[in-house]
Amino acid sequence: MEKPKIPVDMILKHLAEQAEVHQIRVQKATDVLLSDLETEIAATPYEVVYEEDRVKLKHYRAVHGAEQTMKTPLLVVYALINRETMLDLQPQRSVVKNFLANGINLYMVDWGYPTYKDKFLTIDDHVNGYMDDMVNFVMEREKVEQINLMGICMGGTFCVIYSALHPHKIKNLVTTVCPTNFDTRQGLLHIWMKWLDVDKMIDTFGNMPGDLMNFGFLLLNPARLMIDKYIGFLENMDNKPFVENFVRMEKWIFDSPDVPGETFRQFIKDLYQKNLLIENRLVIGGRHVDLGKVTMPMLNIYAQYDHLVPPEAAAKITDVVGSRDTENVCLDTGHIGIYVSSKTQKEFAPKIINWLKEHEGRYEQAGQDHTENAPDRVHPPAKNISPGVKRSEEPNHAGKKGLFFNDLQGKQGIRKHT
Amino acid sequence: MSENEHAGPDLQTMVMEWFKTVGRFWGETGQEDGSPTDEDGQPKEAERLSIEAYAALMKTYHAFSSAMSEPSAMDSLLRTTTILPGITTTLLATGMKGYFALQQQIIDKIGKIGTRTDSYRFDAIDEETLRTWSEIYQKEIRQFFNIPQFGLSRFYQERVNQALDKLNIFSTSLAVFLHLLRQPFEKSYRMMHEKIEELTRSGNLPEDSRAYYQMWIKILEGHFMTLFQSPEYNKTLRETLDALEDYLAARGRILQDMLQSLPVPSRKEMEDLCKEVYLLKKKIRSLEKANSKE
Repeated sequence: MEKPKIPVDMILKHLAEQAEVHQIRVQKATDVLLSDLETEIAATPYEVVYEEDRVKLKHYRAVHGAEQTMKTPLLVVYALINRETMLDLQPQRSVVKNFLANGINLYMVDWGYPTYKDKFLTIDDHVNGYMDDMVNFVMEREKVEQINLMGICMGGTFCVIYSALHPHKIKNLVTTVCPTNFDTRQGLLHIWMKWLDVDKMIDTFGNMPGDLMNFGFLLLNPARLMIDKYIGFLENMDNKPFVENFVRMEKWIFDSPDVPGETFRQFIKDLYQKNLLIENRLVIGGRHVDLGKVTMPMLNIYAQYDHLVPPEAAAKITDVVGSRDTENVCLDTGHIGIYVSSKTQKEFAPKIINWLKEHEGRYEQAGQDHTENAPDRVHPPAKNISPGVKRSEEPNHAGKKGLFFNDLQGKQGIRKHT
Repeated sequence: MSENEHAGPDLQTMVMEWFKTVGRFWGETGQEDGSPTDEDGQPKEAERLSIEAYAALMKTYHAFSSAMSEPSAMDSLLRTTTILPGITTTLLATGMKGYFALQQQIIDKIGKIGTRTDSYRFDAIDEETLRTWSEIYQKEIRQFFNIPQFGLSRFYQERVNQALDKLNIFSTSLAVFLHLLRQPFEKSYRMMHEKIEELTRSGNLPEDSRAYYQMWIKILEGHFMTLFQSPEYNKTLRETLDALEDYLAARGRILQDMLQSLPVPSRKEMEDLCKEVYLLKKKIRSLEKANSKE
């Protein structure tokens, strides 16, 4: 018998089944939503060890039983957009917990909630002020001469700038979904920021309102972020762990502090609109941000499906920094998924932990001087770096692309693209 | 008896007689000495002053009445009474004419609203309607909010008008923007119909309703992405943001006016104070750092 073109009977049968499933789901969902939900975020214990204005420095307590295997502390700098609680969103998917369990001595910057009085704070105040003060504090507290620095998104851009201005204080640099090349049309954000009248916006609002930014982020993909996400919730609202995680994510995503006005203005004009950082022309606090001075080992992780910081905006930095030991890692996920998806939990944090462990003490043994005043920087021979790192025989990209790294032209680079 | 006799004395004679009588009366009144005295027979000071002022007033009035009783002054006065209704009528007519002209001008302008936007037609409803309205507002209605204001409250009134104007512009821009955001939905529904038709013809209709949803959300996402990259969307988004900022700034100025009467600092005052604190802190930090280096 010929198959009917419209299987009305089957469609109706499925509809009837689904109606029944929905009815049961709604009944169960009522119980779930009325029960005690565990939706606490950032639950890993920490201590605030330093405070300056609205900014706090958190130090996470080592996990009981975990041996602190790394002498060099890691300072994580989050973006000024949203909150650092994202790294510790759920107990089972916590980058913080992962780091602690693997012996990392972890510090994290909490930028707090800027108010109207913070509107005059510039990138210089954040990088050369708060960040530098915190780095100095950690170095003094831990009695070390250098620390490891990890930046997230806009915080990563701050870390690159910091590393260029204070290279002698940074042992290893990790950037994750970090925008550094703004001359791209891959992401809508980059297109929109090009024409944004930021002067008018900041003159009107003072600080950049977090809610307005969030609305902008939702507009980047309304079909997924405003419809599909909640349809997904409705389909799983009888599943308690799902609901708990969903609420945690909602708590985080709409917890949006305002961005200090002058910082936002500078970030948009100098970076999004003029692309000064990657072109090695950025000046912060009267000092030239020379990427050639980013000579420490650098791990740069970004996401293939990142709609905020697309690969083109993140990957290029390793080509232009002064360091010879750089590695690009592209993960098969999105901007937020890189930190919270169960799939990348097995890739993201372990990659950073292993990379940091590999680099712990490496250059000390090689006798390398990383200070910004070092006249002749000695790059370690490739064979000493890591058995897993691919050695590239390509000439340095800096010279090829006509950038300003005269001292680096023609050197042999070790770059890994995963 | 002649006609003139029947009419009695003429108006001029009557008025002259009246002025003469009044002049005599006030002249005598002014000269009368009934001043109160104190115990020593001296007039009381306060009363003396008022009596003197009264006498001066009477003298002035007497002089005025005498002057007015002169035949030449009487002629002038009577001419005035003859031409006064004419003047009044002329003034009234001019005022009314101006008023009606203004009314006519406004009616004409309202009547012309929309005639400048010939290039758009209302048969292309939806977006065109909004754009047409936006253009009409910008070109025809907006000017009424810019009519100069006068007097003590002119600045306040101007700021209120400005805020209303900016609110109207923002509302219009927002409507256009929201309309654009609605388009992907309309297009995706249309595409879904086509797709279902196609699947029906090929006999591949999914049995699970979720498959239809997945199909639709994917189409919708695609349409949004296309829209977001279009110059038209970017232009509208920019205009909406601009309009929002303009409105907020105008609203802020009205709030400033209102705050002036309350014992709270204005935004400008707070901004100046914050900047001062910021610069001071910065200075102290750099001094601290320099000091610790020493």
